This record gives sequence, structure tokens and C-alpha cells, in this order.
Amino acid sequence: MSSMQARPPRPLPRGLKIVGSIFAVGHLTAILLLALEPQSGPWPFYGGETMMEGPQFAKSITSTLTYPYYLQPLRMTHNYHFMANRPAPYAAYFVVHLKDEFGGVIQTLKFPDAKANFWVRHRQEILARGLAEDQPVPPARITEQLPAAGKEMPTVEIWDMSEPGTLHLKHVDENKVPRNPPAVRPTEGAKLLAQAYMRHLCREHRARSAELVRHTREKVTPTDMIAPRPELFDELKSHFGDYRAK
Amino acid sequence: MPSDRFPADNIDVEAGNAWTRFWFTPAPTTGLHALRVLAGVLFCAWLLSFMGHERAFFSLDGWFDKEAYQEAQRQTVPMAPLGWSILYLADANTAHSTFLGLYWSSIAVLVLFTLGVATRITSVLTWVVVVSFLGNPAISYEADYLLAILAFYLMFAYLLVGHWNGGLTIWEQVLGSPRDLLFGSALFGASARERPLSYAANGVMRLVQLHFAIIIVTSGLHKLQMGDWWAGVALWYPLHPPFLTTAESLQREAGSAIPTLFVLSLIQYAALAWQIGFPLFAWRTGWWRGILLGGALLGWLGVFFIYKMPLFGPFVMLCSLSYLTPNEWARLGSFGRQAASAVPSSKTSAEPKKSIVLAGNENIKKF
Repeated sequence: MSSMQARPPRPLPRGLKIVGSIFAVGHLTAILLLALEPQSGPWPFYGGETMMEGPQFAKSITSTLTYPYYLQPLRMTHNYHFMANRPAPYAAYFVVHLKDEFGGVIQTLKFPDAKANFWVRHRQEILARGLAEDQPVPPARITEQLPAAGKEMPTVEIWDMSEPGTLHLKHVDENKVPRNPPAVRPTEGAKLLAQAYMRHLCREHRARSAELVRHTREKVTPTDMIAPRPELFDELKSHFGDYRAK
Repeated sequence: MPSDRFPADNIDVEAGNAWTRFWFTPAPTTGLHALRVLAGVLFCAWLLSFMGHERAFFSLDGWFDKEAYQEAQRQTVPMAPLGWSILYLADANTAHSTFLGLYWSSIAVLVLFTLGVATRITSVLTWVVVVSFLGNPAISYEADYLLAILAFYLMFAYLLVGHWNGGLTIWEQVLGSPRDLLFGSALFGASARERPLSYAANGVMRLVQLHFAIIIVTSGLHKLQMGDWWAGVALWYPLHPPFLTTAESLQREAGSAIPTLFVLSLIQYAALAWQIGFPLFAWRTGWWRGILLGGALLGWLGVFFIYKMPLFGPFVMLCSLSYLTPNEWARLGSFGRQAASAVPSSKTSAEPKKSIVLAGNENIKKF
């Protein structure tokens, strides 16, 4: 019998137990509030659907106290509402055309790359999903807005279907944002990712410019087994525009 | 002796309430060390998966370069949170060798931690490494953040364990106990396997258990916000990737649509029940362990083969193992040693086997 095991453990002092309890309760409460704080939905709401905000007590405590001063420094920032839980409305891959100084295509790369190993392909799929995030654009108001004196009418960037199955980014006046169908645009994060990735490929392949084209296809639903939709296998190409290397 | 009783029940601890017994009962560190080794292997596999592409994924001239980081912070773009990282020490102008040095040093730290070398220090460095490699929004994957949770709790545990009851020397207080070494018994003899009871080990394992239960239940309830999960068709979508599904394949499946959806919805509801009912069985012993660990294993296989996601499954499995009681870990260890000693050797004798089994039970009886 070793001396280590023959000696019973020293009891913890009450003070340590109180400190430990306070830490455990505080820590787990912060985690729980982070999990409660996000929006939920979409829920049916007056004939449509809407996302609902999380409870105010969770939002207030998390945003002002626990997230900036505790959870973010510890990088425990995920709220466990996993994106993977939500079936994606579409699948995406993207193609990058690398060009020379005359604009001629020198190489075309597709991502995810079928020849890459599983782990790299997985990360490329994550990037492709990040590029596929679009957000709705508020439609033009019923009454036309006038620009401020001496200033031009503000514009907003939207996806414009110049030809069937092809979208290009286009700036339009706020008064001219279409209502039907509703306009959408890439998120700022998606645009940032596209620009950053094109810069990376230009550096790596010594290209003078690059053009990124996103390809998306809608998800296949079980009812498509019985009655396939005509547009089910249509591929939508979205051009993010050219990047010129500095 | 009831086989599932917590061995520390035999210790003359202060008769406290359930709270005190849950949080402040000293426990053998076997479970903590097992979690460390398994998590360390997972961390190593995760970081090694980037090998050959580490600069593209993580450097400041990679997929998400310095200009993108600055733009994201300037515009406060809502994307995966940007934070500190040791990899920022190697900016775009630094030599490739510097970045490679950081990468391989990180791997070395994870290996040392897995092996139990200087755990007081390597546990902190492991957390720093894991968190540093979360920094790129371009490849931000949700399960990476789960690894950071594991790394945090392991760091917390190894910073605390041994200070109160460990009987450690000054150097051991600073560096960590030699009993943490994975092959300590081969180096220091059988006494290295005998570990004192630890309040920190129990407390941190409880934190892991509760945090993991929050994750599982939250994820399960989140699924209920989507009609696809109520309809039982959520698993249909990853099994029918849009770019790989054709009109012909759909037509072939149409004949067995009902049986297919029957099986998929049943599997999916079983998964939902496991998640939402998790707290009801996670702390129960006996045959409930089959539901806990069997469900975790099936979930691992499902997430890997259906969703093609590599990290969720191992994380769930590891955290499910954290619920094992010290008795169960002792039985596992004893079983493992029996299996190892059952390998035929030139000197076969009943005596060595008997002493190994007794050594496993001794740890239980003494406490």
C-alpha cells in the first residue's frame, strides 16, 4: 500500500468551496445565457414567417457583460445553434478564372477541388458555403426619395439577372430596388471572402487578375422524388466581379 | 460492495448536501488523464490535417490575408469572431520558415501534452495553440470551437490538480506531476500509476459534463425550430447532395420512397430523443451507459458518413466518456491490462495476471 493512497485527502476549507461554487455557477450561467441569447425561428407570424429575438435578460447580460469580458477572451463564443442543424437551401461550389495582364484566362480552378484530400476539401466546402450567403435588400419605398442637396442618390449593390441563370453585381439607386422578385445581395462577409481568396490565388499563381463565379443549385426535397420541379437541376452562376492584383 | 458506488463514498468526507457531494468529492484522476490523452490525440489529428496547407489556411498571406482582417475589423463585418492568435507573430513579411516553426512547435506542444509531459505548462500552451488556430473566418468550422472548450477545461484541470492533495515538490508544483506521464509506470515503476484523489479532477469533470449537456440539449432544441426535423426529413438532404443527385437517381428511388423516409425519420427522431433527453440518462450508470456511449458512437458514425463532418463525432464521444465514474474507469483500465497481459509470451504464468487484476481492484478498495 503506498503512502499516497493510505493518507485520506485533506478536506477542502469552506471558503474554497464557496469560491468554487460561485465560479461554477457563474461560468455555467454565462454559457447558458449565450445559448439562450440568439434569434429563434423562423416562426409563423401573421401569414408569413419571422425570426424572433432571444429573451431580453439573456441578450442584456450576454452582450454587455459575459461575452465581451469573459467568453470572447476565452474564445467560447459559439452559441450551439449549429448551422449544420439547418438544411442548407442550396449547394455551392465556385470557380476562379485567373487572367494575365491582357485579360486572357490562363487557368481555371474549381473549389472544392475533387483531387484534394478530404480535410482540405472540407475546408474548401466551408469557404464555398461562406460565399453562398446572400441577404435580402429592402425594396424601394413607395414614395420616391430625393437625394440631399449637392449629393447624389445613394446606391445599393444587388444581384441582377442579366440573362437567365446568370447573376452579376450591379449598383442601382435606392429608389429603383426591385420589389418583385425581391432583390438580394451578397453579405459583406461573402464579398470579403471572395476578394481575399482571389488575392490569395493571384499571389500563388502570379496572375494579374481573377474572376470568381459562384455556382449554386437548390436543395432536393423528398417531394422531388414524386414530382420533380422543372428548375430543380438548374445551376445559377453568380459573378462576383474581377479583382486586379496591385 | 456495490460495483457502481463511487469509491470516494468510503472516505470520511464532511457529510454535506448533494451540491457538496457533486462538486467537492475528491476523485481519482484516471478519467481526467484518459480524457487528456484522447483529447490530445484528437488535437494532434486536427492540426496535422492542415499539414501542407498550413500557410494557405492560417498565415496572413493565405486565404484570409492581413488586408481582409483589417477590412473585417474596419467594417465590423458579422462573421466568425476574430481574436488573438500566436500565428499573427508571423505576418506576411515573415519568412516561411518562421511560420512553419510556429506550426510544428504547436504540434510538438500537443504531443507533449498528450504524453503528460510538464502538464502544468503544456496544458496552457495547448489551449493557446488550439485557440490560435481558430482565427481564420474563411475556414471557420463550428466544431473547431468545441475543441477549444475541451482544451480550456483540460488547461483548467491541470493548472489546479495536485496542489491540495498531491504532495508535490516545488518543481512538480510548477511543471506538473510525473504521475501524469502516459507511460509513467514503465519509467518510474508501478507507483507512478497510483494517483492521489483530487478535488480539481472531480470539479472540472463536472464542468465538462454540465457544459456538454448544455451543448447537446441546446442543439436538440434548436433543431425543433425547423420544420424539416419535425417532418423527419432532415437527414434526407445530406444524403442527396444537389450536385450529385440526378433525375435518374430520383426516379430510381421513387419506388422505395415510403420505406426510405420511414427509416430516415425513425433514425432522426431517435437522434433527437437522445439529444433532448440527454440529461435524463447521462449521469445514470448500469445499462444506461449503453445508451450514452452507444448513442455517441452511432452519432459519430452518422455525422461522419452522412454529413461528412470529421470533428463533431469525436468531440461528442470524448465528452460522453467524461460521465464515466472512477469505478468504471478503473474497470476499463483493468480490462485493458487483462487484455494486454492475455497476449501470449514465452513466460506464461497465472501469478502475473492475478496481480494485475488485484492492482486494478486495490485502487477501488482503498478508497
